[in-house]
Amino acid sequence: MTQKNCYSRLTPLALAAVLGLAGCDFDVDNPGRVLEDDLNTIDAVDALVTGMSSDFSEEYDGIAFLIARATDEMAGSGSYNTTNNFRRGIIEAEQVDGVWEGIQRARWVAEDGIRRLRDDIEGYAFAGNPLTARAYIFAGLANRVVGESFCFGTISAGAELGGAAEAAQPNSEAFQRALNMLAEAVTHAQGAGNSTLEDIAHGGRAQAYVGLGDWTNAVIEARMVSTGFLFEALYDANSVRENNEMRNETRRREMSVFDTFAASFSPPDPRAPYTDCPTTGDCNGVLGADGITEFWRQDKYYPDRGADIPAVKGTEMRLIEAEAELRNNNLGPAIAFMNEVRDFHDLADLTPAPADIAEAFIALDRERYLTLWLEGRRMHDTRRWEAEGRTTLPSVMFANGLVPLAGDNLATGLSQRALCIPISFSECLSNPNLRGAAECTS
Amino acid sequence: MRRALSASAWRGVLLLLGAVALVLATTTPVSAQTGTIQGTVTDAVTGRQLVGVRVILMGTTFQQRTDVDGAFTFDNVTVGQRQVQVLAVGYKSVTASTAVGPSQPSVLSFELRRLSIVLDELVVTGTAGAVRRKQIGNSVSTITSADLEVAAVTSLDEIIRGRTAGAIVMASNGQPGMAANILLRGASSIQMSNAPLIYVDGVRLNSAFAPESDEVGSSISFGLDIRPEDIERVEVVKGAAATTLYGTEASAGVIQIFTKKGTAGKPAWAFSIEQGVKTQGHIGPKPGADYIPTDAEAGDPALAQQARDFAASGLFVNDCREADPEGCPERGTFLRNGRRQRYNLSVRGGTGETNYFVSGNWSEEQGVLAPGLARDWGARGNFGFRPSETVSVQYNSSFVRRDLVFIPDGNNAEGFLLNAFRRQAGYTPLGNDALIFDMKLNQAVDHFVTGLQTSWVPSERFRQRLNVGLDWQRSEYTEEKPFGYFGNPDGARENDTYQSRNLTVDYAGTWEASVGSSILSSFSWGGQLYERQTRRLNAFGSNFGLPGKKKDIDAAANTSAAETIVDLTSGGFFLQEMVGLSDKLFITGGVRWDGFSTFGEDFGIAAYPKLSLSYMLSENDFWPLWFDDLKLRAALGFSGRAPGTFDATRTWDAISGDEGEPGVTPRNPGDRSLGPEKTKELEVGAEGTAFNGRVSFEYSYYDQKTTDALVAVQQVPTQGFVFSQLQNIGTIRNKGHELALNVTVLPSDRFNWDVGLRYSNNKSSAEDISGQILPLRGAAAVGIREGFPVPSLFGPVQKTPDAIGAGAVDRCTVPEDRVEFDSDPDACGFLGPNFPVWSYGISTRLTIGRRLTIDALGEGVGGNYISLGTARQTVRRNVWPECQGVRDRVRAGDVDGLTGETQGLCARSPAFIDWGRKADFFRLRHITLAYRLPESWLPGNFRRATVSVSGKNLFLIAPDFRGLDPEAVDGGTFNSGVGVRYSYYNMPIPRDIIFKLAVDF
Repeated sequence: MTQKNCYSRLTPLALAAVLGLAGCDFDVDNPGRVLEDDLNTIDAVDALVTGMSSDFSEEYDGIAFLIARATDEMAGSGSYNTTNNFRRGIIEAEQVDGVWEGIQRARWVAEDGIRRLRDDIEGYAFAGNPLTARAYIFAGLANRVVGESFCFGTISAGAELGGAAEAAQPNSEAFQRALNMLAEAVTHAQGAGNSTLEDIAHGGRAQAYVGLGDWTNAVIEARMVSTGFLFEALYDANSVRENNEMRNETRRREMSVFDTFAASFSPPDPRAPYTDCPTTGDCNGVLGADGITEFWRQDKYYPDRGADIPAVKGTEMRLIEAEAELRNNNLGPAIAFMNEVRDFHDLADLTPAPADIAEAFIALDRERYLTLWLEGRRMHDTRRWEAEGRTTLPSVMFANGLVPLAGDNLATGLSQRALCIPISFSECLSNPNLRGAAECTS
Repeated sequence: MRRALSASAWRGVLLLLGAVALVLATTTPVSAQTGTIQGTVTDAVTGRQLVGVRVILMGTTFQQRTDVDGAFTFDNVTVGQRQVQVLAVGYKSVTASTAVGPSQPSVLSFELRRLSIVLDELVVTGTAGAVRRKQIGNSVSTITSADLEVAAVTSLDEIIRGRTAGAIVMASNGQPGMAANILLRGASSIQMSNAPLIYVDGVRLNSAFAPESDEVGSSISFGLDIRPEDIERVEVVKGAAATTLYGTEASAGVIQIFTKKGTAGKPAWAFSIEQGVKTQGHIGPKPGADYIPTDAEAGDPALAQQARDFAASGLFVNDCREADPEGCPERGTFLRNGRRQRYNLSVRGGTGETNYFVSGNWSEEQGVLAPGLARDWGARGNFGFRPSETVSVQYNSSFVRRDLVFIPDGNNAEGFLLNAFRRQAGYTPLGNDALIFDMKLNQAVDHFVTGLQTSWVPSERFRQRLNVGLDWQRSEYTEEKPFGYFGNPDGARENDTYQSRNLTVDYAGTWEASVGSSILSSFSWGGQLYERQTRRLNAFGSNFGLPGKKKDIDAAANTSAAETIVDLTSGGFFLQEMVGLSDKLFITGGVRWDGFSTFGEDFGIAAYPKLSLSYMLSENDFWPLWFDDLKLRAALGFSGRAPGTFDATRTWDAISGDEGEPGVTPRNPGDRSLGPEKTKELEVGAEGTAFNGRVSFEYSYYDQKTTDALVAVQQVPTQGFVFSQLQNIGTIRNKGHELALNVTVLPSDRFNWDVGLRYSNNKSSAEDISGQILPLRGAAAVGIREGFPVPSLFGPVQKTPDAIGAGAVDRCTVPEDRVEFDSDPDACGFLGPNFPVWSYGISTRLTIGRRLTIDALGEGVGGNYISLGTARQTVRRNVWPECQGVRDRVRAGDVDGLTGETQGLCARSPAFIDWGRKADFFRLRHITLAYRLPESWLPGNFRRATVSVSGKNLFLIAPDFRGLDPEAVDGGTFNSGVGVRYSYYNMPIPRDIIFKLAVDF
């Protein structure tokens, strides 16, 4: 081949290569994520509402795990840096990013989802739709959890509010928001003829009224729910996200019943079941993951990774009614409501029966502790009772050589303790309305 | 997600480039030769024939490569005085004249001396085509096969380590097969990968690490698995000043590997066999260490003795007989001496028009903990042919198969060291740590790289090349917890299969023209396409219900799966003009334009300009003769890094809830204007040689600034999107010095001694991250704050660690940024950078009598701090020797005589920052004694045989570390972001003793 011939052959090749480059299509088409616009269709409604449920469950167990260690439901027996602090009653903003973000996401997803269902999805029958009712239920329950567990209520961000003082709202804001959402849920559940959804909403409203201290309305709502009613946040063995976190942390021996109030029941109270591992040897270890604390395994959520966590239940409604009676100095009816709960769990009546209101409050404290054990409710009880100056159960046993802090009150265990979860570091960092706010610096 | 990238605009530009190519292609070719020149090329120190060396007949387009005997022949050379130049990578070039007669062949004999700076050698990385080193304004580090001849290296990271100033290789884990991070000139990105681009023979690899196992805490890399025996040379360009023509994704530098090619002549075979042992020394603190508590410090002689016992036993790993007998092997230690063996066979040869290099290899390394293992085999075939004088085609392919067996370690409740160190406080039932090994962690890796390089050089003035290549990667990671396993009594199995297909198309052309006798113009143009497809399928099953043989996931009662599909496309083109004046001054300017599928819809095209200058000061008349060469250089250039696939788009994640129903949850708020972060780098330096090549040096100073840096901005949680959103809001700065110095102390044929030094430092700073505080890993006290190195350790540092007794612990406040730090006298909560600040490599090679060679390389790395999570967590279990007894005293408030530092370290729950320790270390990377056997001892067909013994990582000096190993860190390989280096029960780097026989025949 002569070189000239070579050129004449290769020149078209070079041109073809360049043309080939020029003809390439740079488009890409990646699946895996759901685009915002894809949600504005009727076909997305089920997934949207399931997402609300999933986001609620995703954090409900995490909050319960935190509260369990911070309120003497469980002893932290593991390696997490936060455990000792929580056990001592120290809860810092840097330690609660996860739970704050998780429950705020659950609240926002449900509230924004309601807006989307109502405004953006053509063909969706909003009114009287059970899915609408469910959406309102998750919005309401998320707000109830915010109100009960955190030091401040719903926080607004951006330009919609003028300053820090308005950004960190009192818990009553969250409870009121919960009431509004759950009232809508009742309406739509009735429209759909779904009594189960209606009961959930009534139960949630009763909880929110307790948060507001409105015992009259709390009782009105509580009476709508039967003792045997149970609505749970759902968990599943399917994936880690769907697992019950408390089950997994139990397997890791990160928390132990040892030296808690629940441990004082032997045999265990059926509402707070556990296994004394060092005694029975029927566990995957006899010490917690800290190598110090005896491992007494909680059996309420063990061994099932998919064990569900109650969010609204009739037994709590009876205890709300009992507390309302106590606050009206009606000792007998209060004891009757408490015994109704005990009877539901096949337990004998309170013996001896509380002799006065003060004793009955202690009994109520114990009944609520056991009935709502590991359900993320204990912190709110201690907070509201502490605020009223009521005597409660000793909170922390200071077991395992845990050294009390200077301000720890060993008698009550409460006066120096954190009784709510602060605004998270991530919210303080990112929310323009909270820059420099006292709620973030104190 | 679907997005167009102005394809019509691309087409227009590329058509224009094609038209230019066509016009230039009409150049008249050169023609006709006569005569014969013959010769040989050998190494002046070892006498070894140099194979594949480029020999150029000056004034013509004729060039050859030496054959297996180091010989070359030019036929039909025009009669008369001719000049022949020999260019060998890593050797000083030599030019000789010879008179070519009409009948007798003219014979030349070249003896080349190794030289680390060769200004006449051709480099191609960061340039539009092959150019002489003297013409470029940026630094290029070159490592040649001669540098690796007797070095005990097995992967790319080991090749780079200690041999390239400005490169810091951060190892991750001592298990066989684990990868390392290569960091060039610091971390220029907070959120995106800081891994350099890796090219092999013009084919771009996906240099990402394979998906990391959460049971191991480290990962393997496809980009590092090339066989050193196949490498001809490696070129490294380290920053944006040099990588502009690579455009987006090149700001962390580029490493280009050139593999061996065949050369004319009979087949030349090379065979090597290695046998050796991998062994682990003492793990953890030693009983005689000065920080092991005395009787008084421990408060009880028995506790002090216990501390020494714990230390002596290597925390129950070196000796597990007494302290933790459950599951302790009969030999009394969990450790073993792992066998390592490697075999390599290659052949190269060819004719004038064709050449080939074919190699195959097999190796196996057993870990120091059974059943840890890395077993590799691979093959390479490089084939070249020249269909005409002006066209050359090279087709290279390689395949590597790796089978790896890991031991669970790292931050893992079922990790071995975690449980062994914690004794009864671990997660294994009754401290029976041998149960850990029931978990089977396997990874099978396939890596195929193939590329076609076509070069068309119709004249000295006009060159074009077109490379098309494919990089195909596959990894299958399986994790099996059999029925009855302590962590999952019902059994579990995971399969994580990852596949990546990467297509490269790279076209470039250069047209040179002379204006008069002193001005040279070189105009270049080109375009690249890169397409990456990744597929990942993760399946998990648990609860097998019944004991029995190995099961697949289908047999599990509970199953789940996750699939990830990501396609990425980028394209770019460039124009460049280089002007040379009197062959002394060279000025280069160019621009690269890029489109990228991950840019936001509103962003458009990214442009990266460059300007560089090099000046050969030594080519002036006033220059002293003893100073051979000196080039001054300066370069200013930009390159970038693209955001991730979905970063610009508002997205939701598909999840499941309500016990198996599909759902969605918010993921990414999105930013339509999201573009690449841009790194601007100014580099100035000098390089040269003196004393006839006995001294060579290279110095660079760089100042690198990444603007529009992608920063993960915390979203307002109450607004629903709790994940961070990348935004182009940051500025990151890296500055540093690099020095490479090589001295031939004794230049003699019989006794030659070379000493080399590489030093570099890096000062990084997050100059502006818009007030963000980026906690990377709280448990390691590592984060990023404005004004501080990226990343750094922050926390309530003790103000007076040396104070003694009660009240000695007095802690700083933690500043949010540099301004607060500087203005608040109490703000001393910055401990130090987490990534190494400086590194040096010291190498020496002594050759005696051309046969005996002693070669050694030591490396020092430091200036950084690492949080010793291993120690901190073990202290909490009352096992870490340093705190034995002391911890009880601190808890009881009996702190008389104890320093504040000790009180912090040995607190009941120590602050992570207290365990942040200086991680400076020096490690002897290798020392080799090699002897080339006398030829008279060899069988007839053998050309050369060398026996050697090497030691790798024989000793470590880390005076302040007090942990396991400053190179063994958790999550030590990271695909995105700067990552975090912290110690958390990771296997230390073992030692290797290797015997090798290498034969050429």
